[in-house]
Amino acid sequence: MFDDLNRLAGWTLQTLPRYEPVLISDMEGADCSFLLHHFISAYLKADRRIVLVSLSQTFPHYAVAGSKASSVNLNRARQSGNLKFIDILSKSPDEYLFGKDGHILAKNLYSDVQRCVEEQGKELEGGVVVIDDLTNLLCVGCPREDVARLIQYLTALCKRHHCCLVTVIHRDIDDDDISLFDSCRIFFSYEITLKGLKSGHSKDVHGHLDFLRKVESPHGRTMYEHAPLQHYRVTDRRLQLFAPGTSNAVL
Amino acid sequence: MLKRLVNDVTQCKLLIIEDSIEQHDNSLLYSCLKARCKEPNCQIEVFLFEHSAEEIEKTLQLKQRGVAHVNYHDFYSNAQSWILSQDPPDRNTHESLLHGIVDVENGTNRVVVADSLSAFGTNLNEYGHALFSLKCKRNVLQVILLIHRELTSDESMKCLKYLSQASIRPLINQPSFKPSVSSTSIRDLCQVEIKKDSGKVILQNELYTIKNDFEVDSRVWVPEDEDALPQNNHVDVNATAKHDVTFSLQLTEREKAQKEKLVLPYTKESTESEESSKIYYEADDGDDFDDEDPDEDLEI
Repeated sequence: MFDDLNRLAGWTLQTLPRYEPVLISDMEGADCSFLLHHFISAYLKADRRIVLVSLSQTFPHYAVAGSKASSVNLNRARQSGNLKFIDILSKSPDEYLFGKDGHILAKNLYSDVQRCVEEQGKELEGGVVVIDDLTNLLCVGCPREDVARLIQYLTALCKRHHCCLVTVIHRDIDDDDISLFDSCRIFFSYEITLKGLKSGHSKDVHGHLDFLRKVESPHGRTMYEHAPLQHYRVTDRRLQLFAPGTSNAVL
Repeated sequence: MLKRLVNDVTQCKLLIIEDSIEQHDNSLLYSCLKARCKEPNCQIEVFLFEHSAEEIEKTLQLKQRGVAHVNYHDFYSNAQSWILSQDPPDRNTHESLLHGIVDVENGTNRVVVADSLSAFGTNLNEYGHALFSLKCKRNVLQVILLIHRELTSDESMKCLKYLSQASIRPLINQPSFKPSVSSTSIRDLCQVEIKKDSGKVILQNELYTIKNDFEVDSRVWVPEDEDALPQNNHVDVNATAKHDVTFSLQLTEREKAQKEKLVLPYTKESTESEESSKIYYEADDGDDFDDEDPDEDLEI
């Protein structure tokens, strides 16, 4: 769990998002996948339920990352039922990846998640559904409109069951006129965007982190609250956030 | 003009309200919906793709106030029709449902309100056809549609502009105007376009406010002359670009009060003495002190 991120967002273990969906995205060379481990370990430490849907990694990957970053034991959480893992990769390739009409992919995925969420019922309240990651659906041929529709219904499903939805979009991969990120962002209450440095790779500063919170006014207008722009550096165990220009390498 | 558009159902048959995903805004749609609920003998069909019926009801409280002639069609929460539709490409059952609801020939006047273009189809042909047929129906008094500019292709925008009689779009990044949003009101700019039956098109920038119970007030807005000299050169030194600095440049009220109370040492010394200041010089041993006036020969 990354304390710096919690401080920036104003979250504690008791005040993690309950039904406000979180969209994590990256662009210009950054990779935001590590932030999913923050949410997985935070919700486990807060003793909440997790539904982890993976379209890109196997379970051991999350288990190793979780134990390194926050010393949480995902294997134990899975055995005790606190963590449900929907493994898309291990299903037969015919079912999800090849030979299927792209329109069916998103619908079947929604049905799987809906079944898992409804099985847990009230026990999932305050928990989180983590989807890693949406861009893979585009890569295997699912139309953008269907992925956006999937997100629409998943956010509604999670709000109905009082749990949070966290997902990832890699913006560099999408080259449509209307991007998947733009299609989906209206459904999310929080946006965390990672951006690489324009000057190139640096071992002391890995990029920019932008945190945005959306609140709807009583008259229906969305108000955007930006946290101050941060630079970040991520290691196996820690995410360091600091003001631009205040990296240890500079000072 | 905006106030008339919002409050009067007879102003146009198809009203497009445009917003941006960078500045998502449902306020004008809600204001129109609230105003339509006051129409007598009129059924309001609300098609929802981005909000649940509960969210709309929580904001507008229409049913709570006894407005019985509003029907919510919640396609945001209900995924059944999407799941069950197996035909590729995904046939939009909303369109058939839309016609099934609106096409009932029982004389009831209807107003159709939608928070997404998805209510009318998934491609240009579908929603162009759906909107055109709705416009032609006598029992459909008005169609009000909210669209997001970035999510609508240029071709679709042209089609919608052609079909609509009126449109409202936000005016953003005006240098001489700053919108204000609070818990009690919204104050912002928009551009209103109305196509009259005579063929005349009126395009107007307006300043609008939404207050209280989603009541809209508006007037024509003219930007300040950019060539005119500024009335005062006061620069707000407390303005902080929140996004660029990580420390606060603003003073809180408490800090301002403490600053006012602070008495600087030299200020205190000078107020104690009523005489003008004097300089007292004590010569050192090495100084060659001369009482003569060095400027004596200048004859000033």
